[in-house]
Amino acid sequence: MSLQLAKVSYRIGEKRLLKDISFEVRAGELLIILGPNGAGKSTLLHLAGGDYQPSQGEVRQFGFDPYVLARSQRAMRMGFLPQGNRLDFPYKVKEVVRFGRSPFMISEKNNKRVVAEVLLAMALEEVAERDYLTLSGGERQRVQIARVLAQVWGLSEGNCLFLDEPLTSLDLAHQLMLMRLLKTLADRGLCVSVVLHDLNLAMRFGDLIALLDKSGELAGFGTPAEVLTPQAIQAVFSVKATLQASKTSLRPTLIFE
Amino acid sequence: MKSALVSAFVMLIFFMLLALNLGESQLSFTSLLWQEDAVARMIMTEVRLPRVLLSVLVGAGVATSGALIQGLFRNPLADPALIGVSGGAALFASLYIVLGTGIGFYGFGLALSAFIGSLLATWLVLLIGDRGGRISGMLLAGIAVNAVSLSGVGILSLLATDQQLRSVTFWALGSFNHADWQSVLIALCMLPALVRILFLARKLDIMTLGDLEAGHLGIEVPRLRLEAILLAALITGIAVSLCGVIAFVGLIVPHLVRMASKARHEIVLPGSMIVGGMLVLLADTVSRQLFSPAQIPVGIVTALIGGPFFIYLIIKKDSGDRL
Repeated sequence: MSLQLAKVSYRIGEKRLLKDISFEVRAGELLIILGPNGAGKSTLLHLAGGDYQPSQGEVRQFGFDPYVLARSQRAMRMGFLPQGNRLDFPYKVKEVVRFGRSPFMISEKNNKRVVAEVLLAMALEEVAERDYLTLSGGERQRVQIARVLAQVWGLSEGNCLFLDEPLTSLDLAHQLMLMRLLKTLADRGLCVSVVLHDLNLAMRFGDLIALLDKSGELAGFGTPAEVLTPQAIQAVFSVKATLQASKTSLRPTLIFE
Repeated sequence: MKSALVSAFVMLIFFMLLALNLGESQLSFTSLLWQEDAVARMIMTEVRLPRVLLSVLVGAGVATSGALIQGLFRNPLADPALIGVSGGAALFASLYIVLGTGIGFYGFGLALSAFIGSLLATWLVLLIGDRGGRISGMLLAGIAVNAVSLSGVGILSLLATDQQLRSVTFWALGSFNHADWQSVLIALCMLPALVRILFLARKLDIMTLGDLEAGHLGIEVPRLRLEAILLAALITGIAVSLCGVIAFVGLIVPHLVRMASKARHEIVLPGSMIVGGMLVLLADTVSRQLFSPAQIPVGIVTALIGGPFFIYLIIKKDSGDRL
């Protein structure tokens, strides 16, 4: 059982956004989706998360079609962070994070504990009582991530987490903090899919890489070492890259010209 | 926070008693209990009491549907007028006044006609605006339907006789002059819808995060949107049909409550209900006392307070956070 996409295509009118995408991510794996602007990374994530219905092919999350699943059922199986924050109401930070627990009305005590843990994990305890609208862009982004993490905090094997460019506006320390956190969540058995732009973070943290090219086709799928080759990067991004062995990690670093 | 709601409610009761004591004839509410004078008794029970009750009910209804629409559209500056309710009601009320000759200018026929207009306009807005499933589509559709409705009112007022024109104008500005027990009974039909709205509080909180986000938190967004719009249309439709257009209450009251409480909808919705009732009651009391015995339409008073306040909100919004 896994997150599976089988020959998935997506078009709006005559325009084909994604073409014939097939891959599989197993429980406990961290998938990173890479590609140039407009390649269809977000569209792919929305298809996998059940927001759109594929024009062809099918999506299965551990046996379920997330597009058809009742919203209340789906919300207890997966979390999804879209791009951009739309919240324009003066809620407290901890209230926003608490919204992530709303699909689970079982135990208020448990919900409170999860919110406290997530606030701690996202380094948000100090702003927990603050008005969300008074926060900086990076802080708001962290609150939104925390909200989605609160939703999947108690989930494990057989469940999914999707994040669309979660590192937007985050500083270096928080970027690394989040990537490590995602790794731990994957270790709990979650199937984690993230859209990123930083190839080196993808190289370092990804279990699997899906590389999309400008035409919306899968240019590569596999481990970072298999997919992120200088040739593939040249072909997809038109950027010259070389691999350099890293002193601190088993995985190499990419140097761009 | 809950105690603030209770004290607001106590204030509302106090203002209601106060409003009963004010009027052309010097009568106090307490005199009602042992008043022998039949005329005085009738002024109290047939004129002042229904008027006070009606203004509170209408204020509560309009303000609560404002809070509902603001949460639904994720825009603290939204207003029930945005879904076309007021425009549709105004057009059909004018149609009734100008073309439905021979029947009384106010009363059940006018109310019914306005109500049908408000529902038709809302239906049209839903039909046009929901095609893309985007919020902006619905807002734009609402503006368009409103504009067409108001130009219809303009054409009708050209066709109208002087007497009819007076009615159209007076109705467009809102007034409780014709409050009676029948209109109070009609207004009470809002209550089930208002109670239902209170139960939507938690879902509205989630909706403010965004449609996609709400969907991923387990909310069937299209269904909730349809239900909320129908509830708002029902309440605003009833309110507008009974006393005309009461400007700005649906916008300002929820905003005031949000600013004061910074709270979630479980407080904002009942808070708007109470404060809305209070504000419209006060505005109506001012409108009938200010140039007594002449009475100015209550919509003028609410717009006079509301307009400048709205400008203040826009300025504050521009200098503060993004819209």
